[in-house]
Amino acid sequence: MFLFIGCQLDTHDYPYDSPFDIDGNKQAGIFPPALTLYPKDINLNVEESADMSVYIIQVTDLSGANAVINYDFTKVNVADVQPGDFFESSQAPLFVYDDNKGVLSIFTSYLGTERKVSGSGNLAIITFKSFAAGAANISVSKDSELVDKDDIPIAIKGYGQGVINAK
Amino acid sequence: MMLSTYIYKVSKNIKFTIYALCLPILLGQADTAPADESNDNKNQIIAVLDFTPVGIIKLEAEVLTNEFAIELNKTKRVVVYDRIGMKEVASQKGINLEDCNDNKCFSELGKLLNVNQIIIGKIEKLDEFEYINGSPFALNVTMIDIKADSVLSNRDKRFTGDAEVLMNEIQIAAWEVLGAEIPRALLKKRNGDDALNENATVLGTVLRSALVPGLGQIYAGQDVIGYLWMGSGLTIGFLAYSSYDQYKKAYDQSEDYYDKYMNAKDPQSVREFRNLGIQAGLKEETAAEEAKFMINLGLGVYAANLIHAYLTAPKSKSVSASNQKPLFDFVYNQKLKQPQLRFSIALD
Repeated sequence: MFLFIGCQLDTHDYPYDSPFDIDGNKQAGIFPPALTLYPKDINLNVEESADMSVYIIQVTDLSGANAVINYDFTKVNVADVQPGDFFESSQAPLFVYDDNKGVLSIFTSYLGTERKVSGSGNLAIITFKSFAAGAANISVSKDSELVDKDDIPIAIKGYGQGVINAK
Repeated sequence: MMLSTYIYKVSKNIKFTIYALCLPILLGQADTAPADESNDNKNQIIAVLDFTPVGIIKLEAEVLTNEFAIELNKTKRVVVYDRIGMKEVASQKGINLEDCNDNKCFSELGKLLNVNQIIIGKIEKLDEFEYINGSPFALNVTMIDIKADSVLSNRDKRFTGDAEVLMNEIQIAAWEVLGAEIPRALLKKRNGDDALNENATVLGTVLRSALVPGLGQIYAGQDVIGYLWMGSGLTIGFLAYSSYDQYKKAYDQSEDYYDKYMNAKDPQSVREFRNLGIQAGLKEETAAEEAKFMINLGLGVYAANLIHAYLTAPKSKSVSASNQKPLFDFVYNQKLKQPQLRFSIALD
């Protein structure tokens, strides 16, 4: 009985890094409004794919966004990019992306009746495919932009980072 | 325990035992001979003379004889004549009991006390040395039929041990000389504190203890220690299970809160589940540590139980023979008043 119980005494080590966790983000130096990546760390094998989402955190009256994501194109490439649910409404959002060897630009805008959205949510889902072993850094570029319905920029205070570890 | 110390302790209770011996006579049971005679001579009155001391002091022999007499009464087969009364009656008639060792004296004493049977004996300390495992003794007890001038029974034995062993052997001799079945308690004491199961094997003992802590010890005849092991095992097992149960609850709670945390989008809910989750995680770690401690303790007790079962399991008779004297013996020489290391070889 002792051995049976003894073998089952593992404990959780949760990272508590939800993209919606304002306190957690603040502890990581990311203050809202922010563009973050989730999950922050991905471990996979070479030739495998994994999703990493771009999240927008605590924004007010957002109408359009241009999220620029820098990635290590010597180790990973972008296999696919899909719109997140933050701009979902009766009308599908305008969603365009441009992948240019290490720089992925995602353009998306809200086409709902109010033309603006507040809060936090998933902006886009990027599928990366690893083709070389090692750590590939992924980061939200400071060239990213958020605008309201009058095309006035919304200041971004936090930029997320992530890493894909391939072996 | 030194013999003299033991005798002193017994002497303190001597009055009580003598009164106990007197009681049946005072109540008139000594005069119930006609009724008892019809019962195949059961409960007939018997006189017990002080055993002759050799190598021990007279007081020790007296005390040991008293214990012997008490044990005779316990057999319910005879009633021992009040020994103080016997000495007084004999003294009044000019009979010196210390010199009473022939049939003429026995006959005279028998008529005087109105008894048909008498028990005489001798306790001899065979060596002047005090051994670590006791001293060698010889005990002789003889029951004589005065009228028939014949020996009804005789016990002659040698043993090595301390005062307690001597006392126990004298008590056993009381049952043996009457041909009665020796009480299990006395035999248990002869074999040590517990009556060992002679049929128990080391493998059987250890396997049983491996199955349930203490079971092997009980099987081997060490009931008290066995139940202690069993109790310890059960207690620690219960505590370990209790700790594990707490850990499991905290584990599930931690998992539940984390799921809620990850699914929450509202900042308030995220914050709440994060705090609850972190608290549950701390509880989980504490409970896991406690459970680990209890499990380690349990495993330690379990291992100790197995080792104890192995070490105390009855070995072959040649090894466990209590009367076997070791080759080297650490003794105390009372004449020289100093300890000595002795080497001896058994010639038998």
